[in-house]
Amino acid sequence: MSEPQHPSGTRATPVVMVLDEADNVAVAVGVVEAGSHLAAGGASIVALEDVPIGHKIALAPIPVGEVVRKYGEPIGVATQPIEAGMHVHVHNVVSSRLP
Amino acid sequence: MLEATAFHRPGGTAGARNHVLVLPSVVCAARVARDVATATGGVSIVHQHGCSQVGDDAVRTGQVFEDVACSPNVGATLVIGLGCETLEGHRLASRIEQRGQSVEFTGIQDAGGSKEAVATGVAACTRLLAELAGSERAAVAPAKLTIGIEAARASPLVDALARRLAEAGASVALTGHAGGLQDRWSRAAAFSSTPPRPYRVVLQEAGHGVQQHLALIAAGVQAIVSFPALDAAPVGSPVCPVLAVRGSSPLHSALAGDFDLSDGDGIDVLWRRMVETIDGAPTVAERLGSSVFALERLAMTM
Amino acid sequence: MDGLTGYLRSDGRWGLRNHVLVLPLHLAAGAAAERIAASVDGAVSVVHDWTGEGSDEDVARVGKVLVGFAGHPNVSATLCIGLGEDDATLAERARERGARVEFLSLEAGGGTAGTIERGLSVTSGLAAEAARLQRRTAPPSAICLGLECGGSDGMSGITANPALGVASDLLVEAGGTSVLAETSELVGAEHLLAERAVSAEVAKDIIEMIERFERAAASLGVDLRGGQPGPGNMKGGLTTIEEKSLGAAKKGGKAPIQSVLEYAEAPGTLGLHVMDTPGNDIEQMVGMVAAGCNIVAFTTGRGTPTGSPVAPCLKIATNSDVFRRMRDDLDLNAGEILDGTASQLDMGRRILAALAGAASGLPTASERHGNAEFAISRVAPRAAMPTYGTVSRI
Repeated sequence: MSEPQHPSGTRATPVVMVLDEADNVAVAVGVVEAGSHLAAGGASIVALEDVPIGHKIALAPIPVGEVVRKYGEPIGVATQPIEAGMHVHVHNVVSSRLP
Repeated sequence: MLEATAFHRPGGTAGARNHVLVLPSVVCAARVARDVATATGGVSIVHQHGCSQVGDDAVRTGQVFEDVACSPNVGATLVIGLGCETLEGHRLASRIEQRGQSVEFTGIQDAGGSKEAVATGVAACTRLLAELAGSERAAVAPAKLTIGIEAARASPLVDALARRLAEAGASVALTGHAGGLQDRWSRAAAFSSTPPRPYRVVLQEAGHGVQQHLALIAAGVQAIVSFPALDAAPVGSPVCPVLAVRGSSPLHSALAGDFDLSDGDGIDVLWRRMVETIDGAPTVAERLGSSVFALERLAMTM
Repeated sequence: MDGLTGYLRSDGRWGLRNHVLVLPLHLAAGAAAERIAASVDGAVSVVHDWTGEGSDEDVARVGKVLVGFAGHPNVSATLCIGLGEDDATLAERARERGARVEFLSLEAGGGTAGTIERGLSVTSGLAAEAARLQRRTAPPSAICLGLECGGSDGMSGITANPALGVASDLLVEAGGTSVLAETSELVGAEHLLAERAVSAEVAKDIIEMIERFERAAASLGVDLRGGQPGPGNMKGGLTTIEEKSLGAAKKGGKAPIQSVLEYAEAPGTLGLHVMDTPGNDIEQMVGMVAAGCNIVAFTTGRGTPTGSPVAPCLKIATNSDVFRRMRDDLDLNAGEILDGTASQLDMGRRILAALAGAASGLPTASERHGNAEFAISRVAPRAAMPTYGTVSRI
């Protein structure tokens, strides 16, 4: 995984960071408020909810049972239908590895 | 006759000590807890648990911590947590509070670091000590006393002590397996002349003296008389005075200075020392002041 | 690594500190050890709960840790304090690789007070010997780096861990040794590590290490939700064990993996190794240090003050917020990567330079605070819940 690119190409502080082009989630590295428009991985998404710093936001719809991908690797599967712009965390994702 | 004094708690129990316990909920908070205790005169314990502990194992460790904090010898507890641990400090503090104990909580991450947590902890501990400063010792009825006996080896003093405690109207909690103790106790109960006091047998599977002490503390004892196994050293307990009675073995003779008494001293001397201990006279272990603590685990750390 | 200095020990390993260690071999000796070390400048002690009772596996494991500490390169000499005279065999084992070890027992000392008296005299002598030793210029191979993360958050895998991976790779390229551990925090990343194994056998060892952990977790019937990731991790944004592991594995950079080590097992070659340890921060650090790691780099998102009794532990914050809030417990801020004032490469180089500085004598935050946590991992605690505290009335 190469070093995450800042969306604007400069060293300006991004709000969300996409770690790999295969990912369907981005990480909030700044304040993400519901309703804000975010530049993420060359695309634009609208945050449907507040997302705390360090938490994930969906870049695309993730149906129930679908793999959630971060760092280009699977990190679990959706347990609820996830829409682009939703907060992705323990309430809608479960590990595929351990009980 | 059992005439002793103790600190009377609002809930109706009585303590032989009036400790402020500074209790780290996780190993990473042990240093801060120790610094706070040293600065204020509280007692702390140093343990290695609370991080990456899960399931029944974590529940049980939390239960042991709770029981130590709820000892009648503890007037108040300051729980010190880190903030990310699986054995959550603030939850432990709530459970202790729900049992009617005076408790405060300091979190290292919330406080802004270890130095800040020590400062916050010292302030909290000082407050708790001030609240307790007003409490005085007063005469305590034997019925409010439970004496723990850790019988890892057989000794004539075990039965003699239990019998005398029963006759005086106090309760006894016993742990250890030394030679058919339970049978002898059933027979001893038949000898008590006053309305029978409850003899409580605290079941504790084989384990080091420290584990036995924790079981007795959970049963609410104010003091422990310990008869360590002949190949074991005496150890103290953080919140409970432990009177260690030496038996006849090369190891026990070699460690004579770490014991309070020997079998040869007889029941009258033991009784007097026990009463003095309840009244506040420090045991050998208390004078050493070690914060060493051991707790059985049910599972490995994740 | 310019300016790197250390103490060259008789077995060829390098010490980055020159402590005198007072090491209890039994819980009962803890009080004496604490008192002795507190009274002698340059002495440190540890406290632990080993009572000699345990499964064969645990006896072996504890022995390995105690011997590893007694003979550690950061320690110029150790006073081991046992319960009885037969505890001397552990001291002997440490002497076998040339370590300077003295032994006392509570039994021969006549109890705690007598042992403290004798111990003070012995330890003062060891401290005087230690003070005569000098640092000298050391090569990068002097460094055996333990990689650790604790209190991880969603930033760990983006800032501090990749930057530490850069530092680890630079160290390994220069001829040093690096150890990646925390098995439970590699679950989900093992295929990426196996790809970098130097041989098919090492690749297999990596996969098996993870499988063994998963079997152990399953057999315990434990619900790891809430355990791994833990509450702090989740507040910080980590959702699953895989996510945490993928971030954690980045501490190991990209270097080839030479071998899989057991808990407290010394690496047999230079380069990057993986060690099988629990996720508990202290148990992990003790395992790595007992194996010979003489310095630890520890990334943290939530903040933690923990350190090692004998090794410098460099704390690297994953974000500027925690760095500001817990400034006194932390050494470096990898949050600058997010702030835009440093790249991962810049930060990696800065970590390496800070490691060299700490190795050469600059105290880390945890050393300034005297954080000396010690915990020995056990593998075979009781299988069933004992009837602890159950009371029956006669």
